[in-house]
Amino acid sequence: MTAVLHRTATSVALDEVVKDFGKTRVLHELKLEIRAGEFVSLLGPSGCGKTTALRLIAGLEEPTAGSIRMNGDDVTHLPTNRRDIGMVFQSYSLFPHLNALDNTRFGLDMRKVAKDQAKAMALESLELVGLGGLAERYPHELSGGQQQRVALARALVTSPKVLLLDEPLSALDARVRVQLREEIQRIQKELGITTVFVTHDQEEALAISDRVAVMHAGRIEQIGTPEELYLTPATPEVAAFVGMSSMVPAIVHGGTARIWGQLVPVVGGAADGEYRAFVRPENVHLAGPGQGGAAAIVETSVFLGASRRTDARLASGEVVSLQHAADVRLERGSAVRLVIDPAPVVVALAEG
Amino acid sequence: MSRATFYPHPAVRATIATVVGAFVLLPLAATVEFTLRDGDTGHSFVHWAAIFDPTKAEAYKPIWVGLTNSLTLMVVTVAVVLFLLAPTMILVNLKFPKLRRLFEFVALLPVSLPAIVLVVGLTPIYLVIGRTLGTGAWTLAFAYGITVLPFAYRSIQASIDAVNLVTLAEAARSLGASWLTVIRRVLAPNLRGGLMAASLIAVAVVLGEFTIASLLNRQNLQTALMLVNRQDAYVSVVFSLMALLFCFVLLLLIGRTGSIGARGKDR
Repeated sequence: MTAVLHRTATSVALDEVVKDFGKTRVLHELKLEIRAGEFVSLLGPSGCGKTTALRLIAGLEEPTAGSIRMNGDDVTHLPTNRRDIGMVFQSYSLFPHLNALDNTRFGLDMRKVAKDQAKAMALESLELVGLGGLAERYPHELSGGQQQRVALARALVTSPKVLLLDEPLSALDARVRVQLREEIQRIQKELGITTVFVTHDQEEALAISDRVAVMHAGRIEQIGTPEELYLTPATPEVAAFVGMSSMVPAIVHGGTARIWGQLVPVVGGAADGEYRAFVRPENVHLAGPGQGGAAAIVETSVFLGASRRTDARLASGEVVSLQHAADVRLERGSAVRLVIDPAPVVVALAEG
Repeated sequence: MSRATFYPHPAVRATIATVVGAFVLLPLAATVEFTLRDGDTGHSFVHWAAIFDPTKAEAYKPIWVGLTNSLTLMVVTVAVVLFLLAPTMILVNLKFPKLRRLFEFVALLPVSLPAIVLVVGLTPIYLVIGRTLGTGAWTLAFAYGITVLPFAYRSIQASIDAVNLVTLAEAARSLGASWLTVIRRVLAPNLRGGLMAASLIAVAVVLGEFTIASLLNRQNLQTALMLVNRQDAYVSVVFSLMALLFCFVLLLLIGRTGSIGARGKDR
C-alpha cells in the first residue's frame, strides 16, 4: 500500500571500529553486526559512545581505524549524502522554511524523482506516520511529536538502506514518547527496514528492539535480545543499566552465591570471595511464617496499580526494592523479613 | 517565568518619539528647504531641474561617474559579503567551531581601525592592485569588504546562532544533498534575515564612504559630491538627498522581503 518502495533489507557491520576525538578514545575496537531488517538499539549512559557509533554509520564522522560495511560493501569513506540512509535526530531537524510536505519530499528532490511522483510519495509517507492532514503546516506550527513524525516520514520516504534514529523521542513528553515508539516499531516491521536506534532509556530499548547492544565507556558490554539482557546480564554494568536492581552483599563459594542465608546461582560464575549481587525487585519476596530470611525495615511503599513496590533497608544498610501484591500494605517503619528467588544473579566484587 | 513588562506612560513615549523624530527630521527638512531656494526669498525646483540641464552637464559629470562607480562598488561589495564572507562563516561554524573565536576577533578588528589608518596600510597594497588589476574604481570593493566586515559578520552570526546550523546541515546531508545544495537550499534560506541585513549594511557603508576613496584617488559618489560642491552646493545636496532616499527605500524593501521570509518563524 505504501509508496515507500520495498527493497531487500541491508545488513550493517562495524568491524574493529576505533574513534578518537583528539586524545580521547571514544570507541574501542567496536564490533557490531546488524542483520538485514533487524531493529537494534544502542543503549547506554551519556558519553558511552552510542551516538558516535550511529554517526559513524551515517558517515557524519569518520572512524580513526576499522571499517564499516553495508551489505558487505565497504562504506567507511563514503560521504553521508551517498550512503542512502534515513536519519532522525534528537533535536528538531526539520527545515524551518519548508512545510511538512516539502520537508518530506526533500530527499526525493535530491534523487531527482519526478515532481508529481515525489509529491505523491511524500504524502503517502506522511500518511504512514499519521500526519496526512498536516502536509501544509510549517515546522513551527507542529508539536514536538508531530515534528519528529515528519522527520521520520522524511527519513523513510526515500526507502533508505538503513534507518538511523538518534534519541528521536528524548525531547518528547512521556505519553507521546510511548505512542511514537510503538508507531516506530510498527512502521519498522511493516517496511522491514534495518534500523539502529540510539537511546539512554532502557525501558524504551527493551520495548522495541529485536536486539539491544549495551554500551559502556566506548565498548559494547553485551548484545542480545531484551530477554537475554534482562535475565542473564553479562556484566555488572549491564545488570545495573538494564532493568531495576538492588545491590546486596553476597558470599560466593564454589560458583554459588549465599545471600541472606540462601543459595543462589551466579551468572557466568565467579571466584570465591565477597561480592555484591544485583537482585531484581520481582525476585525478592516477603518471607512467609517460619521461612527465615533477612530482617529489614520498610522505608517507602508505592502503589503501582497492579502491584506495589516497597523499599526496605537491611540491617547491613543496603536498601532493597521488592515487588509484591498490591493488596499487601506495608507501613513505613514496620519490620519485614525478605527472601530471594533462586534465579541466577550477577555479582560484582565488593569495593572497600 | 512571566514577568510584568514595563511600559512607559503614553505621554513619555510620545515625548521621546517627538524629540528623536525632530532630531532626525529637522536637519533633513532644512536640507530639503535649502535645495528648493531660488534667489534670496523664493522657492522653486530650479536646482532639481538643473541636474538634467544639458548646459551644466559637463559640470555635473563627476557626480554621474561617481554614482556609477559607487553602484558598481555596491554590487561587488555585496558579492564579497554574500559569496566570500557568508560561506566562510558557515564553514567555520560547521567544520571548525574552534576557530570561531579567532575568526570573530579578526572580523571585528576593522571596527577599531580608523579609515585613515587603514589607508596607510592599503596604499602599498593598492599600488600592487593598480599594477595587476588596474586602477578601476571597482577595486575599492576589496577595501570596502574589510570595512563592512565587522557589521556584516555580526548580523550573519546572529542569524547563524538563531538556527541549529549543524543539525540542519547533517539532516540535509543524510537526505542526499551535496554541500553546495545544503548551502543553497537549506542554510541560505534560513539565514536570509542576516544575509539581507549584512547586504544592506554593505550598501550603506559603500554609499557613504569618502575617506578611503579620496585618499586612494578613486572617484565615488562622496568624492564627486565634494568636488561638485565647490562649484554648485545645491546640486551636491540634491544628490545627497537622493542617496539618502535610495537607502531608505532599500531599507524598506529589505524589511518587507525579510518579514515575508520570516513569516514561518513568527510564533
